[in-house]
Amino acid sequence: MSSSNLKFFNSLIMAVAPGGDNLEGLDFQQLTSYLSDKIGIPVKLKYCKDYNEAMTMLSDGTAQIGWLGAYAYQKLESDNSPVVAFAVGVPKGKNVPFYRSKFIVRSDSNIQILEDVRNKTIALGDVYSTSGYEVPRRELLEVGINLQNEGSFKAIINVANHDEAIRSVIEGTADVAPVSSINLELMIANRTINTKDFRIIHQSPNIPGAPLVYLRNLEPNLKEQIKSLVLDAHNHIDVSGYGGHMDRYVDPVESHREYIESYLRPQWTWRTIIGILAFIVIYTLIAIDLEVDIAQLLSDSFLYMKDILGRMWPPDFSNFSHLMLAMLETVEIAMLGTLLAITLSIPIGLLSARNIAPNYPIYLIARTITVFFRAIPEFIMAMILVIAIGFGAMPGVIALGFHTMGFLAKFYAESIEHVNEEPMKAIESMGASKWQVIAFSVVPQVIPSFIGNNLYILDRNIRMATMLGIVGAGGIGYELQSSFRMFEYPRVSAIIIVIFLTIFVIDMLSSYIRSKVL
Amino acid sequence: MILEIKGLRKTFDDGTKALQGVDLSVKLGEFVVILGSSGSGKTTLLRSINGLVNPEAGEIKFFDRVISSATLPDLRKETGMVFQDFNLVNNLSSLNNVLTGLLDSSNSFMSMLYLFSREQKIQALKCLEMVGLLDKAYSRVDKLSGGQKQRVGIARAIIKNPTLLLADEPVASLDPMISGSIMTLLRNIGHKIGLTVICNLHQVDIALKYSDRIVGLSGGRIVLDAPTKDLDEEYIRKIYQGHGSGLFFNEDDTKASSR
Repeated sequence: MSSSNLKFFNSLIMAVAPGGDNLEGLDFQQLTSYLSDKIGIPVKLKYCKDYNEAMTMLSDGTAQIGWLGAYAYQKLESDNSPVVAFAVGVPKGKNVPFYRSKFIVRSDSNIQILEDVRNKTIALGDVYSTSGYEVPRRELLEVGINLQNEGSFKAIINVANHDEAIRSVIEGTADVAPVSSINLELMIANRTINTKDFRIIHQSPNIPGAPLVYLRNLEPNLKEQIKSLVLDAHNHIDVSGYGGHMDRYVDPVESHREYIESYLRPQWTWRTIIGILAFIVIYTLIAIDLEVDIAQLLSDSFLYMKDILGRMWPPDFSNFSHLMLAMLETVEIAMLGTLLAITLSIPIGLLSARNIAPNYPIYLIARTITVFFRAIPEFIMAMILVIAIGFGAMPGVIALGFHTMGFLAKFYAESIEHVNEEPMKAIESMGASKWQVIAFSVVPQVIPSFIGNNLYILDRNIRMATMLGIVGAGGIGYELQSSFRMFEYPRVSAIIIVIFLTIFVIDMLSSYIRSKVL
Repeated sequence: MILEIKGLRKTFDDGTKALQGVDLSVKLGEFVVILGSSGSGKTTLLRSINGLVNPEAGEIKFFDRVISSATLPDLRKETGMVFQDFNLVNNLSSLNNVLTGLLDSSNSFMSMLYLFSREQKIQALKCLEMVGLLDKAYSRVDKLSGGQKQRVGIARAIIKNPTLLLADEPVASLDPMISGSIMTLLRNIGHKIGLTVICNLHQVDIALKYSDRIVGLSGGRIVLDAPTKDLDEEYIRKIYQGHGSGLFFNEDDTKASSR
């Protein structure tokens, strides 16, 4: 090997911090002898009594290579750290250098979620253990349990390592224990424990495995040499590290990039894309089935359209006052129909809201009623009513009222189902009755959409009422029908203009009301 | 100096004198807590810095450039903001919420279709990892707990690599224990990426625990400005005597006041 590497050293020292829990797995002997062999100078192992001793040896340059345990990453995050991570082990059977802290309970335990561990007996590793203490501490904090406060638990059992923690849960001395996924999987693999005996109630985010480090200011060639030897070592020797046998060592930066990239997903999921494609296909098929031919529509129909429009011009307003009276009747039918619809919809809407309906059968009946009246067009209803109660405004009012009741009740029910339930609970907890709860928390919340929906239905009913006359249910529709029958197209256009202007005025009016009330 | 504020004044239309001549300089990399009760003017001060409030007098310099409507877009590129109520879009995923922090530098057509580049997504995932929420990248934020939501808020604020982070009462909606983890996160991120943090608080104990420097505000005036290591609860209590209502000195105060 090139002598420049050896300019300062006739041997290298690797300082190893205690693994905390799995010392037997911390076997760097093979790796160091492999390095000695390849670099050509002895690489000696120095097991330190704690993290600080290892860090001191590296800081003062006594050691050049090191394994600092899981705390290393935290220390390495600052740029002025004397050491840099250069390799991290991928445990056997894994493809990422990460592990997790998993909270385990016995299979028959009543603990379901992390919150449930409060006031239970917990087995904990020592405070320097990452997956046995530090990470669990953060996870518990997230659900409001303070690990450092003994009062949070019935008892805390201190265990020496993860294997002991796992055993204490399975044997029943502890209710719950946060343990390293590496140890857990090892114990499952060598059948020390049975997966049927325990459950995992919670797991932490991925914890990066402890890296191998070297001095930042080590000679660049030597750094490069050590790094490439370690990253290639698995091809020549059995590599070990924290948690036992390693599959291989990988570059921490590289592996972190791969890890982050493993979380990449397309912004548009295949479901969305399939949805869009299905939409296009269905509508294309519909267009084909209905023989929609835009070219023909434009050419042929254009000529006929021109003809009929020509005959409609100029509009004939000779019986203007008669028209206005018919229009007024139409508006009246619509207003009365809407009032009928609102009156009917309030109870039915309440009963068909899932959160208000007293029970499921009533909910179902109310829903069925709304669907039924929505399903019968007001034209059909009006035709039947005209036969039953004769010509005039009433069949129109009743037809509109019942048909739009189906809509309004559905709208009301939907907005009631979307109210914020928290104020409801609050008022309920003050001792209010069911109807008081509705009056004081549901009603104020749905008022804006109530008004909005009613205005929409009124607007719609005026438009529909103009047509109801065609089946003899009163209003301007009758005039329209008879003018058509007599081929009085100028009158037809006059009626259309009156209808348009009326609806325009109503629309302006309802926008005005909306802006004032909502 | 990253920020130099001189003679800042603001009176609101209803006559409230929110700021009555505030001078403040902030050094690069500092973690400054602006301490004050509600109504002390601390929110107005923070909002003046990124132009959400227009002060009537005084000037604010960001890296020696006076902030005006012309320089504001540049300043906003350099600042991230964390809010008391998180202000996340509830039915978007954590990742998409974080990506909203990059909208100003995204292709406007592609971003309308929610399409972001691979690099942008990797950047967002890294930010989520930094706040410990990588596993929740594709969860809708309304499914997250309060503390997790604020973490997403922090990830969104830091994704464009700001030099200045403004945090307006970041822990006021959280319980004391989760508050601690959020403050630790803010401080660690501050140190890690060399971020200057200005954080509004009304809890003295949190301010003492996490800041490098405390600036006390009362009635729109600075009544205290010192390195945190030179301060203790007693001293702050004394300073605020007379005008110190609404400050929480420790957890017991919090409990007492909510009773």
